[in-house]
Amino acid sequence: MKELIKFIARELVDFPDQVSVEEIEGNQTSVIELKVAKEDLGKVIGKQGRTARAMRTLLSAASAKIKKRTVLEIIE
Amino acid sequence: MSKSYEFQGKNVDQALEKASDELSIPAEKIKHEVMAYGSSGIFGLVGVKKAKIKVFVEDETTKKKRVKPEKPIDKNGTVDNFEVTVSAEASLGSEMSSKYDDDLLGSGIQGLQTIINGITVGATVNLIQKKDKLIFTISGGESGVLIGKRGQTLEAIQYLLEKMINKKSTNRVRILVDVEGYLDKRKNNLQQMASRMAEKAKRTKKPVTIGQMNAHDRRIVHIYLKDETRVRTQSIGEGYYRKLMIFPKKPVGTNRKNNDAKG
Repeated sequence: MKELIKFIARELVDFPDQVSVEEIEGNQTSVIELKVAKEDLGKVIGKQGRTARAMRTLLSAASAKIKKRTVLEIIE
Repeated sequence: MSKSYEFQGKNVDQALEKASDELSIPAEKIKHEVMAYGSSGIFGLVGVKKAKIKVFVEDETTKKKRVKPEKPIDKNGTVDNFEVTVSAEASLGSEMSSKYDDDLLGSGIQGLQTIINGITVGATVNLIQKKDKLIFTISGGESGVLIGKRGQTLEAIQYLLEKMINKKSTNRVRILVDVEGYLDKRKNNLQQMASRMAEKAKRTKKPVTIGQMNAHDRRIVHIYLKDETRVRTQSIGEGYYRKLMIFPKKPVGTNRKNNDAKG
């Protein structure tokens, strides 16, 4: 899960080295925190949050198979 | 059995020349049919259209020569396990397919494979190159999960992949991601719904609203109802709340012949 977001984020940004992803696991819900360079924030969020929404959609599809919820947080 | 190929060029002569080059048949012996005469547009800038011809080849041996689609991926050993289908269409206009960079195609396939691997297991990716877009088809795996509710997941995959590819590419590449013929099915469903809704609008003489569609879906409906003379379609609203409306057209003077023309 974490790798998936990391992979996508690194493909989208200008500074892939500054992408870091943390996963905080809970019983039912895990939270994935995505940190990118300040310049790249817009790229992972997208126009009207479209990119962020697409990533969240992927996450929910991916976490459906392990019967969990995953929340994506983009950290400034 | 005769085979037909399509060729494009600035004008018909050029297309013919290209055809004779590619098929190694002298130009005067080529049986062809002109599909579109090109036009150079205004000052060669606006509205440039390529001429298109269809060439019929009877000799089967010439076909042999045609079967040399550049397999772009094979040379990077990294993506050996992906099956790459280069459709006949793509290999025809060699000038067209070379527009796509090999590395780009490879990384596109790998990127998509990585994404779908995160969602389901056992799905494979095929690539079809068309002259104006790349079509990735996914087969196997849990297709239901890949498509998602109303094709949500599929749309997200396509959107992200398009971003990833265009980030690497200098010119804009259009892509399409399909899971086991879902796009066709969806198109059919939408068209059926569109004609039902158009009927309803005509019957009740009131506008009908269809919400909850993405841009691609709306486009399908608009195009489908374009030739329907008694309704007009329009999208209203912004972003997530954008809706498609079908308006009945008022018959312009009831005694006009126009009316029963399209019954």
